[in-house]
Amino acid sequence: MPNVIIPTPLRKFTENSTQVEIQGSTISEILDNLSFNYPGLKNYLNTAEGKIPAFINIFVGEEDIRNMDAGETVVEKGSIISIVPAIAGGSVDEVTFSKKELARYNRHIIIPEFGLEAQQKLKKSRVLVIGSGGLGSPLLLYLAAAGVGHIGIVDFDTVDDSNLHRQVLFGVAEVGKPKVEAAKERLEGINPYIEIEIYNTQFTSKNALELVKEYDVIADGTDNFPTRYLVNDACVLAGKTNVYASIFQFEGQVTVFNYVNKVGALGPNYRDLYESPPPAGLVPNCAEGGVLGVLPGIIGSLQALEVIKVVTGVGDPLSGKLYTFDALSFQSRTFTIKRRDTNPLNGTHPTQFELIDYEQFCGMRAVDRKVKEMEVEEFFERKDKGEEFQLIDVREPYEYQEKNMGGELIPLGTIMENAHKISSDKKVVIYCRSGKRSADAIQQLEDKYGFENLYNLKGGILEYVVFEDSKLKVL
Amino acid sequence: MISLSSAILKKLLAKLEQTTEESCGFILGKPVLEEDRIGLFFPVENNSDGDKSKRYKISSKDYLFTEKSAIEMGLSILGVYHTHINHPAIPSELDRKFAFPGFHYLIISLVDFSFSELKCWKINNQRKFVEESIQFN
Repeated sequence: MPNVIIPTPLRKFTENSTQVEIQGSTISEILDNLSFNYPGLKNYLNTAEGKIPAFINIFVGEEDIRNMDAGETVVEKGSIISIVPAIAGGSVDEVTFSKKELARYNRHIIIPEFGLEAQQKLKKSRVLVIGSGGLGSPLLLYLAAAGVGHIGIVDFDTVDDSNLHRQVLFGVAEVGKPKVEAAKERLEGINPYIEIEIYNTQFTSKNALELVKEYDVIADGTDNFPTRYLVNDACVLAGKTNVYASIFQFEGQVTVFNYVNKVGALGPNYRDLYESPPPAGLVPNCAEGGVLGVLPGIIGSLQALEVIKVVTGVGDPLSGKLYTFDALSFQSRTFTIKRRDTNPLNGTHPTQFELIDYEQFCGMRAVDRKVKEMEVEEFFERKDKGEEFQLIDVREPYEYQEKNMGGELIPLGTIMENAHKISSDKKVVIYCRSGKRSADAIQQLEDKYGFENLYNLKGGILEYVVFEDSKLKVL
Repeated sequence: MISLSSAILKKLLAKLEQTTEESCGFILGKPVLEEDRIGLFFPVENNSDGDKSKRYKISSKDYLFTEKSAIEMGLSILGVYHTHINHPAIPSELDRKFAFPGFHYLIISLVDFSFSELKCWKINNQRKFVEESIQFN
């Protein structure tokens, strides 16, 4: 049998043997048998793809198998095979392109101001996109297509049909799937020459710095104030540039925060623009206030442009400038933003040196918590079987008069002062027109009084009407 | 964790600072409890066929010679050191590609021919470098 000489760092896996006899007629067979006999060696002899790792050299006698037939090299019975750690490295990674990549990026490379150099910078860059929704969709599509070499995506949400009017990264087939997974598949389909790392999790004060520090540039595509402040503060504390965009109904904004320009001067950040958040409830998010589907397409594309400019150093990024676009009047304006002495992170007397609880800071949640739900059909089935429920209607009296399903009327605005009327032992089903206000009522009641027995009637009165109609048809 | 005496580091730095090419070598020593104690630096030739100001390579011959010498001295190969010239002591993608699991990778950054920083790294199971603390004694 061939003899394999084990290097000292691996002898702990071979019971300190310096040399072991292993059966096999090719190098691949021998390595497989070696891993089988000594499982601790597996990570050293095989990559996840089943290849011989770059960090070992294998010799048959004096000859490197890379100069022979690599894994297929045939060995004889008495051959001596040596495994030797391959030791190499260096400081600066040289970015090279395959022929296919050069052909792919040709229209970039032939722009004189851009050229191969900027394309190399793109390939080498690491960009973290937070949120893969309305803004994240065009942003990710263009960054991947442009050849950003390493893209990270953070999102905890799943694709919903109501996302598809603006989140062009997804299609009907992806409804119900985690957004990051759907995004990765789609982007790999566009550009197989880049790496995409996904984080199917909420971006929070706990994981923010850890995630941000792995990347060169951060692109904020989130839709709520707590996360926006969090992204900003994490970028300032970690010294990363934050390419920011936001949209609401018909208006969008883009800017570049915490950017160090060519002469080393640091630009402003979100805290210079808005030191503290607006009062809770004053500014709704897209889910509450709505958004014109094409607007995130425009603004997210501008955001992608700024990411590419920051990464390549081509052009002047929107640092110290806030660009706003009004889709209705087609007016765009650019305002100047300056660093402020009062900035709590990096003003003249900073007071904040770490991340804080941003939901508390903004007086609102970053993510709507899901409440327990019950389908109309299930409600009636259980009721028919004799289960007891308290049914509460949180709409306004005029709506109640129009149509109701026999619930006790407590309009949303008065729910907290009437909390004592709500049972805390039996199941309580709360409804409104569509299920939105009742969900809000349940969240408030759970937060303040700790109720655990509240169910939101899914689809509200609208669904109840459909249910009644279907029963009539059956009759 | 890795520990190191500042005296032997100073000796090494005195040699490294004079060159415009990346220097490299092995770290020999002994594991003592939870700590790998560096006993000596074992310089070898930078055998890279690329630009040696930003690339290094250690030949298999030098590896085998070092291994033999270490055994004779009653020491083990704990890892590898190399310099980064005018570049931070952060591992490159190439360093990552060739990183051998279990080895300590000590990177010494030299800026304008003088010592700038020293960092020690180890590759984890996800093949990402994790920085290690260095204890000086």
